[in-house]
Amino acid sequence: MESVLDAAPARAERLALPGTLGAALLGSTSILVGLLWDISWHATIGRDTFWTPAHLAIYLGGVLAGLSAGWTALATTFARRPAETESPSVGLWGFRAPFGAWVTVWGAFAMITSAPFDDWWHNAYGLDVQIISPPHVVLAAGIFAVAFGVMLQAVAVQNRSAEAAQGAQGGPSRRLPALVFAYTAGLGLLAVSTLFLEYSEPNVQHGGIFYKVSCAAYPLLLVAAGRAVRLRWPATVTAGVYTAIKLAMIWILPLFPAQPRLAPIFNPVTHMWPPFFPLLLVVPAVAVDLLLRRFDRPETRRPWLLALGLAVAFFVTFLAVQWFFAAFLLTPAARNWFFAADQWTYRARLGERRYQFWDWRGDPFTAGAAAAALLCGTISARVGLAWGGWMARVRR
Amino acid sequence: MTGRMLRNAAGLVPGSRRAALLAAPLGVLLLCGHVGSPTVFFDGAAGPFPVHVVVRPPGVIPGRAEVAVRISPEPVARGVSRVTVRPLQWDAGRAGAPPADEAERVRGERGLWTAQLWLMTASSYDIEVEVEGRVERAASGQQGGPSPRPADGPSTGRPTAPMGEGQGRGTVVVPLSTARTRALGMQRGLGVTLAALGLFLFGGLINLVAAGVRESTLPAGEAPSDGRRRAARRAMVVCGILLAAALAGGKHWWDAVDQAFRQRLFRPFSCSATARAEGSGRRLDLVIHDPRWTSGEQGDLLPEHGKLVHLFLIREPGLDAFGHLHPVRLGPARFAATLPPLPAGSYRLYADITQESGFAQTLTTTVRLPTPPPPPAPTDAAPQVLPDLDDSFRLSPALTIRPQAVAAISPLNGGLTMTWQRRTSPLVAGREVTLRFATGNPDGSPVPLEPYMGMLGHAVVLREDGGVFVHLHPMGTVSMSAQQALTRHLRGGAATDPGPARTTTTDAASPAATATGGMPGMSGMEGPGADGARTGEVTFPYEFPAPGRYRIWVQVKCGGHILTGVFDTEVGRAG
Repeated sequence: MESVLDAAPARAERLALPGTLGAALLGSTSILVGLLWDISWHATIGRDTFWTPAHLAIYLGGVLAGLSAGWTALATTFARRPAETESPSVGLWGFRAPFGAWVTVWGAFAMITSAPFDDWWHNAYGLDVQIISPPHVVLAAGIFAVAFGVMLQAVAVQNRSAEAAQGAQGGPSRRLPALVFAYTAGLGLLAVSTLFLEYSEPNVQHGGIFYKVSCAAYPLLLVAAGRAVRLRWPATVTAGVYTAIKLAMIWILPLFPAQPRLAPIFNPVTHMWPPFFPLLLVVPAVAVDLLLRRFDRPETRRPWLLALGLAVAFFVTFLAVQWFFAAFLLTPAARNWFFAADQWTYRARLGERRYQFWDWRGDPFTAGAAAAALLCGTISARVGLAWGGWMARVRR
Repeated sequence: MTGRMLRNAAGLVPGSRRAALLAAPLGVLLLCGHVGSPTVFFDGAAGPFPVHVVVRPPGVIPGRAEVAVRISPEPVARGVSRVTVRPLQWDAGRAGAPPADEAERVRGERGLWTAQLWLMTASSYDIEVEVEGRVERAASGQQGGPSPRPADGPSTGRPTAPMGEGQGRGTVVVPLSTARTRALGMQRGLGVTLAALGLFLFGGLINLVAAGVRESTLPAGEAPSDGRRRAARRAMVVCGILLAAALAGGKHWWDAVDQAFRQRLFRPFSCSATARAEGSGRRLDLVIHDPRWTSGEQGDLLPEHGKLVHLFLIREPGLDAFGHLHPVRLGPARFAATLPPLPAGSYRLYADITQESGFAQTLTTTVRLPTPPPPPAPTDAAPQVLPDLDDSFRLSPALTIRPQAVAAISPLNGGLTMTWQRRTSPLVAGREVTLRFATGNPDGSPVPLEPYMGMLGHAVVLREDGGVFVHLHPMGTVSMSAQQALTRHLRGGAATDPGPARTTTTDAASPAATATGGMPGMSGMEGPGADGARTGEVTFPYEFPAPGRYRIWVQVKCGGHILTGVFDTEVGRAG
C-alpha cells in the first residue's frame, strides 16, 4: 500500500492514489449512505437505537476516515526520510500531515464527541424531540468536516499530480486523481442536499423557498468544483456523482422490507422509504461549466460580475428543468420504482394532497422570491469562486 | 444507559435544584400517580395465564419504558410461546397504536419476559400484554401463586377462542400515566469529558485554520513567508472569535431548551387544605386551585373504589397519626370531610385522584388540625358533612426502627393482631418484594377478611421524609378506575378494530356501587391472594424505590370493622 509519503515529485510517475485516500473515500461514502439510510429508517420504522445499521454506517465511516487520516499524520510525522521537509504536509501541534487529513481528523473527533453528548441529550430531554439540536449540530459539523477533509486530501493529490505531469510527457494519470476529487465533491453536494432534504419535496418545488434554498446551497459547491476539479466538465461530473448515489439509494432502499414501530401510523408502509428523486442539478452544472470555461480567465477577473452571471445561469436553467420535472413527479407516470414518487413516510396522511403542489410556509414563487433566489445564488457563487480558487492552489 | 435513567428517575439527581423547588413544600421529587415511586406493579391474569407485570416508565417523554412480565407457576410458564406488549394511548386506541412488540424471554430466569416500549406523549396509556401458549389445565388452581382468574374480572381480557388443541391466548391491560418527571443534571465525569473534547475541538479548529492559511498552498518543501505567518495568526484570531460567538449562541440555545423542558416538568395540581371546628366536630376543606384543573379542560374525575378522592392525613414528625378519608365533593374543585378524632398537629396531606383519561396523580399539601372539641352535647348541631362509612384512622407510637425481625406484629382493635410475614433477607431499594400480612386471633388462628372498598386490603407506604408515598392494593400500584376507563375507551374503538373480546365491569362507578363503596367483580377478592378471605392473609407486590426509613399502614376489614396495622422498616441501599 502506498502512502502519501510516496507523493514526492521525484516519484510522481508512480503516483496513483495513496491507499489512505482510498480508506477516506470509503469512510466518507459510508457516512453519506448512512445518513440517507437513517433518514429512511426514521421515515419507515420510526424508532431506533444507537446500534442501527444506519447509525453504524455513519459512525464507522467517520472512524475509518479519521483513522486513515490519523495514520497519515503519524506516518508523515515520524517518517525517517532524508527529504522529510519536502513531503507535502502542514504542521499542527508538532505533527505534520496533509491539510485535508487534519480536517478529516477534526471532523471524526467532532462526530465522536457528539455521540455521548447526544445520548445524554436524549436522556435529559427525550428521544429525538428535535432533529436540529445542539448535539446534532456538532455531529453535522463533524460530518461536513470529514467530507471537506477528504475533498482536500483528494484535491491536493490532484493538483500535485497535475503539476508533476506538466513537466513530464506521458507521465502520471491526471484523470484519475481529478475523477476522485470530483467524486468527493459529489459527496459534498450530496451532504448539502441532505441538509436541505425537507425543503426539497416535489410538492414544494413550485414555491419560493425551494428556489431560495437551492440557489443558496448548490452554486457554492458546483462553482467551487467547476474551478478546482481538473476535468473538462468538472461541475457536471460532480452533479453526476450526486445524482448517481441518490438514484442508487432510492432504488435499493425499497428492496428491504420494514414496518413502522412508532405510533401514530397513518401510512402502513411495508418497505424502506426512498428519499426523493434527485434534483436535476446536472443541467445547471453544465451551464456553470460552460460559463466558467468561457469567462473564468485570470486576466479578466471580475468575480462579482462572474458570480452574478453564474447565479443567473444556475437559476434559469434549474428553474427551467426542475419546475416541469416537479410537475411530472406528481403525475401517475412517476408513480413507479424508477421515480419513486408514490412513496410516503409512515406519518404521512395519504390523500389528494400528496399529488398537489403545496403553498408551503405561505411562500409562493413570485418575482420577489426570484430576486431573493438570485441574490442568494450570487453570494453562493461568489463564495464558491473564492473557495474553488483556493482549492485549485492547495498542494499539501 | 437505561439503568442510569431509571436510577435518576427514582431519586433526586444532585444539581437539579429547580426540580426540587418545584416539588416544594415537601422538598421531594413528585411523580404522577404516587410520590417518588414511579414503577408500576400489577398482579392479575391474561386469560388463562397468571401474570405479574412491572412497568418502569421513562423520566422523560418521549422515552423508553421497560416492561417485565413474569408468568408463574413454572408449568404454566413453560407452555407460553409468545408474550407481546403494546402501548395504547388512551385517546388513540388500537387504531393509532404501533404493532405489538414481542417480549424477549430472559435467559436464566424462570418465566420472565422483558420488552422496551417507546412512549411518545405525556399522557395516559394502556399497556396491553398478550400471552399466547399451551394452557396447562393441570396447573390451574395450583397452590401458592396467583390462580388464573375467570374471564370476568375488570382487568382481564377473555381468552379468545381456542387456537388449537390446548392452545390459548389472553390479554390484560395495565394503565400507565406518563409525564416528564425529572430534570437530568450532567454527571461530573461526562461533563468533564465533554468539556475536554470541546476544548480540544476548539483549539484544533483554530490551529487548523491557521495551518491552512500558512502552508496549504505552498509547494512541498517551501517554508512559509513572514506575511503568510502573520495572515495565519490573523485567521486564527478571527476564527476564534467566530467560533466563540457560535458557542455562545449554542449555549443560549441549550439554555432555552432546558428552560422550556423544566417548565413542562410534571407537577401535580396545586391544592390547599384547611381544618376548622364545626359544630361538635372538625371539618377539613380541600380546594384544588390549579388553573389546569379550574379551567375545566381536563375532564372530570373518576371514582376509584367508589370514591372520587382518597385522602390520607399523616401527622409529622413521628408519623404517629394516620387518617384515610373520602371527602364529599362540594363543587368542581372543592371537597370536604368530617375529621375523625385525630390529635391536633401538623399533618401531611396526600390526595389520590384519577382523571377521565385515566391519568392518576397524587396531590400534596400540609394542613394543621386544631384540637378536637369535647364530646358533643345533645344540643349540638350535627355536622354538615357526614363522615364516610369507609373513613378510618389509626394512632400509633412514633416511627422507630427495631432490629430486623422475621415477623413484626402490630396489635389491632379487639385483641386481634396483624403480622408482617417477612423473609429473613433485609429489604433493599430497587428489588421487588411481596409484602405479606396475616390477620389473626389472639390464639393465632386466622381471621377471615372482608372486602374493604372492593379490595382485600389497602396499604400505604411512606418514607419518613415524605419523599415516597404510595397507595398499594393486592393487584399492585395501578389505579383500577384508570384501568376500567382505558378498557372502556378501547372497547369503544373496537368497532373498527375487533381485537380480542374484553369483558369489563363498568358499573363500578354507578351510583349504587358508589353508595356502598363496594365493587362488583372485585378483582382483589378473586385475583391474587383470593385465599386471603379465608386465611386472613393479604399480599402486595412492591419495590421500595429508594433507601430510607419507612412506615407502612395496612388496612383490612373484618367483622365489619376497618382494622389498620402499622409497621416500620428500614430499606437498605442496593449492592
